Amino acid sequence: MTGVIVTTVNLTAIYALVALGISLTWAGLGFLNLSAGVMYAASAYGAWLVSTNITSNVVVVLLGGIVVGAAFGALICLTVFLPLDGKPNWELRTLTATLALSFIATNLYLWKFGPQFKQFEPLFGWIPQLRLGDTLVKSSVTGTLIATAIVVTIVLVYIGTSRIGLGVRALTQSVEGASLVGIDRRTTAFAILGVSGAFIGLAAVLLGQTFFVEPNSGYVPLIKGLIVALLGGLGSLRGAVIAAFMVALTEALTLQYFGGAWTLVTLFILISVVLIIRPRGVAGVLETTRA
Amino acid sequence: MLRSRNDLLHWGGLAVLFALALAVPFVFGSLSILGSMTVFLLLLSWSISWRQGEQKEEHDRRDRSSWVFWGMAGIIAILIPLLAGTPFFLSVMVAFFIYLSWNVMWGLVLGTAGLQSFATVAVAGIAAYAGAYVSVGLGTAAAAGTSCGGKLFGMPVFEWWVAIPVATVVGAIVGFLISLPAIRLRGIYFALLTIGLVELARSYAGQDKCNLGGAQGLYGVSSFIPSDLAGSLLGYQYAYAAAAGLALISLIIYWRVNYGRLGLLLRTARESEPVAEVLGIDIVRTRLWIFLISSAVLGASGGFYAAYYNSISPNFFSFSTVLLLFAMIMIGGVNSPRGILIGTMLLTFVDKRFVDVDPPEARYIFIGLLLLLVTLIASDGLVSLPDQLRRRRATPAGRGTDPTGDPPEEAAAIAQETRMPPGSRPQS
Amino acid sequence: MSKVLEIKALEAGYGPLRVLHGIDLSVEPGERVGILGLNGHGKTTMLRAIVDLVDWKQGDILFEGESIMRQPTHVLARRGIVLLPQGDALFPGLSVKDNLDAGAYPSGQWKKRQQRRDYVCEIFPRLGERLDQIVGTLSGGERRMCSIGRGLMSEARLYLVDEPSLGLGPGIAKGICETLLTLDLQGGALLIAEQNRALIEGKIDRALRMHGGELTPVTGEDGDH
Repeated sequence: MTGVIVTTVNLTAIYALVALGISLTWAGLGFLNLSAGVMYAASAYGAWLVSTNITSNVVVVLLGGIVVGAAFGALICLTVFLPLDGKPNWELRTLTATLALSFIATNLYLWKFGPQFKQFEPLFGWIPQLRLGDTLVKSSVTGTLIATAIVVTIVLVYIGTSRIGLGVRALTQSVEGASLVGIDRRTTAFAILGVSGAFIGLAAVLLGQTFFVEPNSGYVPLIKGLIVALLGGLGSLRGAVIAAFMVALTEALTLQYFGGAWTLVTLFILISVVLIIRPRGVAGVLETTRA
Repeated sequence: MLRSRNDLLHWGGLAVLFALALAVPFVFGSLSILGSMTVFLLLLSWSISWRQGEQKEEHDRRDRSSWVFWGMAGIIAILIPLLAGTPFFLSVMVAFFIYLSWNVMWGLVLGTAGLQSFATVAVAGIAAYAGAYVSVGLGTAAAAGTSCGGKLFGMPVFEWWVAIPVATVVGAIVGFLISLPAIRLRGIYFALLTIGLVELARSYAGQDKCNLGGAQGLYGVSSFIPSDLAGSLLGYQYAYAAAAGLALISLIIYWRVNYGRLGLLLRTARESEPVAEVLGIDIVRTRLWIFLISSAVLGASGGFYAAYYNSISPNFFSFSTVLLLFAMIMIGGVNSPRGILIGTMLLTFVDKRFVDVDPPEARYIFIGLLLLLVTLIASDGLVSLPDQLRRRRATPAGRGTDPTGDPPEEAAAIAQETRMPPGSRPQS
Repeated sequence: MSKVLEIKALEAGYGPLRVLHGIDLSVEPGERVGILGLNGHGKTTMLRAIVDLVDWKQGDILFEGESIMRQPTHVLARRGIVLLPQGDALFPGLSVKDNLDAGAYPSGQWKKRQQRRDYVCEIFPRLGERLDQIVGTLSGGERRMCSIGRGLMSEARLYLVDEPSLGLGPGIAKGICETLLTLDLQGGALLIAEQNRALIEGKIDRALRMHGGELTPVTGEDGDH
């Protein structure tokens, strides 16, 4: 049972990071960032390059992933969000543009890095393995928790107290209100996409500890992240975290008692149940309307 | 039409281009005519759009100019096999016609009805499997009651003329099932669901060794090409004609739906659901119908696919196929049958022409870049560029760059095919 | 000294709908101008057009001598034009303090936000009592105060007030209008659109009536301030 708890906690952290990135972008900009997958893969490769060519110091590698993710977010802002904002047929075109970017990026990775899996040097090896009941808590799990907690706390505090942070929060509440007080939606978009990218980048490095990096590695995190964000109620950060927990728990339980082949099935069941009861997601009722 | 010197120049110029396009395969090889005809048709479409002036919207244009375009397309379809009819080229064209048939149906769902579905490949594939199963699977070891796991070669149990109708019906059933969640789920949720469906189909087909042949799929599906012609030039020509017929039927169905009452109802519902409800439109039923119709045709062409290639495998459901088809319709213009045709032609050409390029990923990167560029610049694919240019010239002064303007209800009328970002309201 | 606001032949509307049919208006520094008239005739549209919250507009609008026709809303807010809209446009999930601070968002104003907040809380003590409360849970009157308070957080040069009494009880409405019309404009100006003539009578310098998208002066209206 403790094995389930450990896995759940680990997965929650990672899914929450990706889902937060997606939800934040939606809440602040009304833009569904489907290029989160390529962001993810780019950060994973970036961090991998750092760890193989520069140093395997854990902080530097993590920062590498975060920085690449944030930079990618800024790139998306520049190439997809800003050019299409306010233009006709906007919804379908942003969907298409992000898909196009994914297509380009995945093939670029395939070209530059080849289809072979790349492995990370273990980053958290210096953390001693803990014992929880009868389960061995791997150092990578502990490391994931610590890193996630630190980064998320820093970012949330910054968003909660700084001027730009207020701009971001205001934008998630009322687009008109934000312009009326002088908040430039388009500049703030960089901050939002940058933070979103940073979260996703961190998730990529952390998950890369357990899995390998390959050109399509962004696909599953994107789908899972989207599912979690949607289940939580798009736009609700609290909902994203709750939904991350639900998905992680389901997956952990399935892995323990039914085996890996069934994880998609149980996930599908979970989604159906939640969306039937709450078509707007877990936090759908709490979803702040952007007035 | 030949009223002035301008007209003479215009049509004369196009005629010269056409002649050039026809001559291209003699210099650059048979495949190049697909490329040259794509360029020609695109220029023809642009010139027609441009000359039509402020008149009607894209989907209302059923006047003579439209017939010029489709007439030329038909002429090209007849000339191509005569001028460049190598077996290789003809097989490329068969693939093209099948894609066209799928894309036109996808255009009905994504464009006319505005439903963000990615289920095209799933429907066609499931139907293809159904047809293949009826044709071959029933003769497999499993059906015979012996143990599973040997090679699945069967003598065709049912011929193609049973298999394809079965595929059509199965397609319609799948379409019906997909339409159910479409009622409850909004845009992106539904898109994800349909993408998930494709994945589900792929993994299931890959795992079911007994009935569906597992990773290898089903072989030996009965084909409509008479067996004595198989492999000969005449056989390919036969297939070409059949595929062209399939595409033509799909186009006809598209026209009848899109320009008919169902299309009108769907477009109204797409623009504004509340308005549609007030008008008494049963949105649920119209969407059900569009899924049924488009999926039935997808099923037929899926069955056709399996019959032509004599096989079907889980690779059919790959996401890159979905993306490639998606790129075809978006680059051309999802709301315009011309756009769908041109987009499919263009990308079929690029995909096949550069298949030997090193590195192999380069052509996909190129396609992705092209898609990105067209999406960023054009409001609805390449064919919409003339209209867009014209609209830009006519914009009233002082249009704010800030998208937060909150218009009263009456302003919904100007929406046309524009859809502004959420602004101050969450999307419903 | 240039006029604070000058509007010339302004036409504006939403989509195919033309709401304003050629508005001319000038506002001198220190002036308080009232725009009377029933709803649906263009008062709101005019105020919104000034800050670029309409679909389209034609003509010219000058602020302190410079044309602002092509400037987006947030730039105008930073330049000192503050709209206090109908419906408040507050941030319902944020606290009163955050909402107020947002009003001082432009970087020059941000440093002084503590001061400004104290000033606003003097004018609206109820806001001061509820600084940490989430705005979505405030009453209608308190929300209106918060919206106006937010507008006062930056040193605006031009206040555009849209129907401040809407949805409020007579006592509160009176208090709010009084507060607004006794503000020290410091050389700026104030435009107030208000259906209820009695609330602003006597406190404005001049009045105009908006009817059918056209503005006409109201005679016999004199302020004594």
